[in-house]
Amino acid sequence: MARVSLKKLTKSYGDVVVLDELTLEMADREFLTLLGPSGCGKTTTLNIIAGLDSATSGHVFFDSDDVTEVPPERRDVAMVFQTYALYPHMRVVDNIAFGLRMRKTPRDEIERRVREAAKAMEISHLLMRKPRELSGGQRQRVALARAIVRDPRLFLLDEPLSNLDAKLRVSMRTELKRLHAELDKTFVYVTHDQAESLIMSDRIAVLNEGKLQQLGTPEDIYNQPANAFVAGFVGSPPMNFFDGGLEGEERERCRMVGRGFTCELRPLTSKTSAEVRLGVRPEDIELSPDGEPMAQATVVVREPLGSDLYLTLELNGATFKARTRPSADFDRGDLVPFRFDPEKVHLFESASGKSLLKNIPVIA
Amino acid sequence: MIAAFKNKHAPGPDLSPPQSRKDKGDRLFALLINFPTVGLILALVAYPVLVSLWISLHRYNLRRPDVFDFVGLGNYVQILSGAQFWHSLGVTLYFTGLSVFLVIIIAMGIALLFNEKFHGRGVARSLLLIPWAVPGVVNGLMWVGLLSEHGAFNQLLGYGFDLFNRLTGADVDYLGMASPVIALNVTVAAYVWRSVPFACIIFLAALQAIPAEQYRAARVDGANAWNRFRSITLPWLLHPVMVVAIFETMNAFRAFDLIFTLTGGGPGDATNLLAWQTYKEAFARLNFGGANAYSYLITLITMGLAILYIRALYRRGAVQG
Amino acid sequence: MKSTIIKRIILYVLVLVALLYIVTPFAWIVTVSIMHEREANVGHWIPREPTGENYAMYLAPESGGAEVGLATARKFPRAIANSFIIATMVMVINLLFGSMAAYSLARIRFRGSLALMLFYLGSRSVPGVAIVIPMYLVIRNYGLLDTHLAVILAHSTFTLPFTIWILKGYFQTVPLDLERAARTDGCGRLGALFRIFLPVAAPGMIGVGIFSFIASWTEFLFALLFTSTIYSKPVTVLVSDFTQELQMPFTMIAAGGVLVVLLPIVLAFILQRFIIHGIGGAVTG
Repeated sequence: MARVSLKKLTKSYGDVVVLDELTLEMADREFLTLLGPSGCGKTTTLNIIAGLDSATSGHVFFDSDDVTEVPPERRDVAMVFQTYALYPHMRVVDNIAFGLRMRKTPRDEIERRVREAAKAMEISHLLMRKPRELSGGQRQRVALARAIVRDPRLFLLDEPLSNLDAKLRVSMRTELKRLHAELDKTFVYVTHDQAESLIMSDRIAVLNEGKLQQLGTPEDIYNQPANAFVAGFVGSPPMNFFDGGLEGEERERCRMVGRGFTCELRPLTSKTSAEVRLGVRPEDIELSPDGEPMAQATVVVREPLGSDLYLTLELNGATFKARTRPSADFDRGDLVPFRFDPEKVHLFESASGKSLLKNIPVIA
Repeated sequence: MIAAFKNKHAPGPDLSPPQSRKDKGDRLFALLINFPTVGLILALVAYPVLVSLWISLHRYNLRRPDVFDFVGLGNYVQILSGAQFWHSLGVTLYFTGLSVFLVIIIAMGIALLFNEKFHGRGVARSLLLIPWAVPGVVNGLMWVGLLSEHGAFNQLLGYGFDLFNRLTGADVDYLGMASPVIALNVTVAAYVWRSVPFACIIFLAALQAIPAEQYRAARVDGANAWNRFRSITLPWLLHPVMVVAIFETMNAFRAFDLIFTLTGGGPGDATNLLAWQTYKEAFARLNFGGANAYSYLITLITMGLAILYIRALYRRGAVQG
Repeated sequence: MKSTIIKRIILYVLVLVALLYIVTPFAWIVTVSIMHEREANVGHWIPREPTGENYAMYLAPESGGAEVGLATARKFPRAIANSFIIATMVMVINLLFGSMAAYSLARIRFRGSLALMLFYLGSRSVPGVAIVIPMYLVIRNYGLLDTHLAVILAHSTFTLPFTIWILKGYFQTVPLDLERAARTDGCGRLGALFRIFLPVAAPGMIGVGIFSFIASWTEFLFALLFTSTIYSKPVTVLVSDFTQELQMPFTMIAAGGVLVVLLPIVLAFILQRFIIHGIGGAVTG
């Protein structure tokens, strides 16, 4: 049982605030990802959960126990590091057995569990080697074996796939997901790779500058971003943004006026007279629409990607990307009519980044 | 580039106040395990330094141990107004300057050589450590022998002497230590010989840290060997050169062992380095007051030099906390 | 390619020159040490009648022929023993206390760490000559003159700062994640230090240990002033006594010198890789 909850965690080094009153409740046995750019505080959070770093203020709870002052060796967590951190002077088998030996597990049980873990991670043939003789992927599996052999109540993973080559990374993602399902334990995963987080997580906590931006399922994060940061961070190619103003008296019937186009909007959650930002994902832009187009834009770049075709379009100095079928017959220099579906656009207040639109239903 | 990577793993000193009980506990732990070393240095370095200052302000000669008059800066004035000190200082500056220069040049050359791949490189590097393992006193005796009438040095120069004699009509038989100029320069040579390995090790280690890609990139860009040396190797070596310069300057300034067995300060005054003069004051003339004043003067000078060097290092931004 | 071959030849020639510079003075001493006095006086390079009699003088004094310098030669084994005791203890002190201090400076952020580092390095900026006289008085007041302890302590004061500085740099190259992994695996702070950190840092420690051993073995000034009888006199001081023995044949002096240098050289040979690795890592890191 491990429901991790963070209550108002703050971490500062002198004047520099790395974590700002972070409050987060995780569900038991879920795969939760801490997602954010470098320096957002996600690794610091993970270290605090592990007990390797201490918070300036705030508390960490495992279920109902306050573990804030408990040293790492007594928290019963296992951690997989970005650099794997295998003990270089020990063989693989000793690396894996180390944690069990520290807990004075009986010899035969250690042997059994190590063998099982090695089999699960398919490294049984590497047990007698030293870490320096292994490839990156193999070291990673050893690090994972070392973690799972201890059967802890909580798994912490700090960007474990970052140092692998692209192909290995993709296959390891699936493996980690499978591992999570089999072990049925809580996984707290840190990454800056938003695609990874969407694929693997039950829920994602998006962090920026030490503050929680949004906590939700991958679908929530992707389709209903709470602010402009989350909207722009998640999704590849990233969401297109247009600056402009609002027009209209009532909340229910507003229009966004951009440079060279106007877009109808769904009912707003709150009205503002300030500058706004319209966000549209590349796949939500209709080219050569059936209905009335909003404007026409010039094709600047064509990016064929096999199953999709991405066009970079230009309108009045602003560029944006649209996704379309590979068979679409648009060339560089062509003028293309386009339209944004009001049901699928996002609107944010420029100053605060806050989302101004009600949640849209997920398209089935 | 490497430094940036290392800083990712190594915490620097964090000067903010302790954040929690855990941090305070850490601080106590750290101070505790430094305690023995600090204690030792306080007792045997800091305390004697203060005692030394105190004594240097008094007239104190071991021949008359009950006399201990306070004379303020009297000792210092006496030393600084006598010719003895300035002569020693001059000799020491020459010795130090020449030695440091030669050590850096020779050690750099050897390091560059031994950085290349060749058969028996490991053996060569092991042999490199021989001069370093020779104690100063043995070094002195060795060079006395080398320069004796039938020593190796004069044997080697044998033919040179004949040539020289024929050219100038002189009657030189061998280069002995009787000549002040030769004595001083031989002292430099002996000192340099012993100091080269240490500097060489530092340079070698620095050279090995240069990532090979930089050279490859430079070759692709069209740089020849000299350019590569100038724009990649030299800047990289700047920090180690400064480190070696500081070390060797401070060491050369204190040279003593070598003088003891090689020249005893002579002939006459030629190799009377400051450290030797201090020793003579203290243990030949038993003038402890004056000797301590000498010590302090030396300390001031070496500290001044050290500060100059460190400031130069800081300006280059190369000193790690 | 001709230019490459020429380059290789030049390289080997230069290496040879460098090696000659490094080795010749000492090599000559070695050859002289196995010559008879009469040969050395003539200036031979290679002994035509090599002899071990010079060494015999030190190792089995009664058997040797020459009476000159006999007294000094007899003290030799004892002096070597003294040097060995002192150097070993200095090495132990450096490894124990030096590594502890270096670890705290490398791994723990605490207020005062910078001041400590400056304190250590600053203590080294006081030249030996300045320190030795008052230190002499302090040692004398404690009745520690002519003991091993006095020399050990004195040597420790000037080797420790360097050891700490080198080890601090070296320790910082050990990845932090290793100790973190050990702690989540169940070690306490001390456990992580002994089981994980020290084994990984071993090469640097060895290099520093050797360095402090050799530094102590070859030290002269403090040893000279703090010891008077053969009870505690290390071999560097004994060798300097040779300068007083004007009648001592140079061949014998040479043999003595070789013996004194032998031990550190053998050690340095065997462990040169560790020395370069350990010291170099700290300077560039």
